[in-house]
Amino acid sequence: MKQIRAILKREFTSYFKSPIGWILVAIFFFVSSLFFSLNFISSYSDIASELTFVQSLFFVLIPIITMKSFAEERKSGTEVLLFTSPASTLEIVLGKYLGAFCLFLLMSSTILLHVIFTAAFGGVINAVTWGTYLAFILSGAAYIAIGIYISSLTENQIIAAIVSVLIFIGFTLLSSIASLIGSLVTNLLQYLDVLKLISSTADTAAGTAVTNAINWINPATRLSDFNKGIFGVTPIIFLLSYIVLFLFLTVQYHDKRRWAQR
Amino acid sequence: MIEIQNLVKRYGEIEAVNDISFQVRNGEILGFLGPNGAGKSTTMNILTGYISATSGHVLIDQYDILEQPQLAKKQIGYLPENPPLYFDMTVREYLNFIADLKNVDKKIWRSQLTEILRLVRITDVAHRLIKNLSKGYKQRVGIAQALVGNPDVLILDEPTVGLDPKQIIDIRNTIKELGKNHTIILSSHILPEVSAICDRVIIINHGHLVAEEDIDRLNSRVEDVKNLQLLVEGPARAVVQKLRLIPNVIDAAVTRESGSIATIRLECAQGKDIRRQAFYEMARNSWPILEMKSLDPTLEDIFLQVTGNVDYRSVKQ
Repeated sequence: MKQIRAILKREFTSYFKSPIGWILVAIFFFVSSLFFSLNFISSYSDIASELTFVQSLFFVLIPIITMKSFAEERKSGTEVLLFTSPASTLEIVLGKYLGAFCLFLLMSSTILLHVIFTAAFGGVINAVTWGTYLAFILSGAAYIAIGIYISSLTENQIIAAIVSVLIFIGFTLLSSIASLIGSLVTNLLQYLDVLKLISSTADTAAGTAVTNAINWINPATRLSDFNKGIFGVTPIIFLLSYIVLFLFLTVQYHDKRRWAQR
Repeated sequence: MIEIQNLVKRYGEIEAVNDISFQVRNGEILGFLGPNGAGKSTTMNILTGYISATSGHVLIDQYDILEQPQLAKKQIGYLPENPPLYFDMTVREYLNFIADLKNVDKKIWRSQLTEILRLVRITDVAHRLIKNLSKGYKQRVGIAQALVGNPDVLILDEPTVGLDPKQIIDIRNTIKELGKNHTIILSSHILPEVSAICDRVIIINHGHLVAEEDIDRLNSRVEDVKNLQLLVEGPARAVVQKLRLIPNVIDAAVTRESGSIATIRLECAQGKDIRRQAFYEMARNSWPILEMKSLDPTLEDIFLQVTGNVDYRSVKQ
């Protein structure tokens, strides 16, 4: 526990020893406030849509947070320090992850200011607001886990950032082309089914199933129900397992690398 | 204290470490000697649990580094080849972080920090950012880092590399001081360094353990090897031929030739002094000797000595 806290603390404070941490928080606050105030001028405030808007910036914000995590340590040789200390690989990975997550939490907490403003001026703060907030933080946490994993694969921060950006753009793309792929499957089935053995409703159902499956594994679309005020335990568990999966992969990768034979 | 059994590390076809076994006794300073690329750093990385061996065991105070890593690693302070420093921290912040990482008791830590700062003499830079320190100070912070938590074993990988002569002497003295109550393994490719600090020496080459000797025996071997360097004015080829005829000269070779002056390296039989014969021989041919000096044995000479006259570059079984 003590080791996790030590690494977390070092990780978090290191963001603010370079301009990176300050710039990230500033950009985040600026963009969200811009959205907020533009609405506010016309006496309108919708925290949920503000969060959805800011979430679309994840694909560039999160890689900047996570790119240096393991890549920098490997490059500067300081990772020897961590891996020869009595801390276990899991503790090291958790410390690194939580350090990045805390910076993200700090960024996200600036939105609370808008919530307070909205409430003070009699705006609507309801379950949808809080649900979206939760979804926002959870999906951020999942993206960070992926970013940390990518960062541990290379010693080049720029490569880590670019690969993460591509993956996150991939998630967004996937959500818009999911229905396209679904209808493609439907058309393909109808085309191949020359003897008309399968009813056309079944073809359509298959296409829809594919679309749903793609959306199901995609962390970018998983929480869209929350914006509508529909809460479910499944998406939360789903995102938590995303986090666990990628942290597990990170631990595995580091343990495996020590056994490398080449 | 430390026991290494049949350590092998293979990288594809290359065997970086090949069946090395040795022990380090409690309170001993062991020198780990070998040319660059001999497998010193690889062995040290395995000892500290940073990488794993292909086969073999490492026991630190009874604990296997792979099976009980937490307990074993607690006993070790490690200074890798490049000191693992966070440049964005001050010396004090950095050492505090290491103390937390190694789970050092808060109550003990306060006095231990003062003690470490004093021992490696970095008290006056404790508040400065590591990135602004000189190479010598960075190296000392690296050593300080290894001392956090007062581990019984210190593993230092080339601790004096890249330092200026005064800093080297400083670090050597610090290590000697530490040797009073720590077990130390120190790697180096510089012979005089090892003979100045260590109690015992292990020599490795191409991943093989070539020799294991007490420092006194090694030093007496070093004294046995006395080669000469001569600066002679005369026809180089003829000079070498004449010198070879002198009894007890094993070999003579021209190392440099400029104009009519030749620099010649003379390899002599153990414990024989041939300076007089060389002088008379040259005088008879009226080739004046401009300079004559005895050469300190190099690592190469020692390799030849301990491995029984096998070319050290190709020692391989």
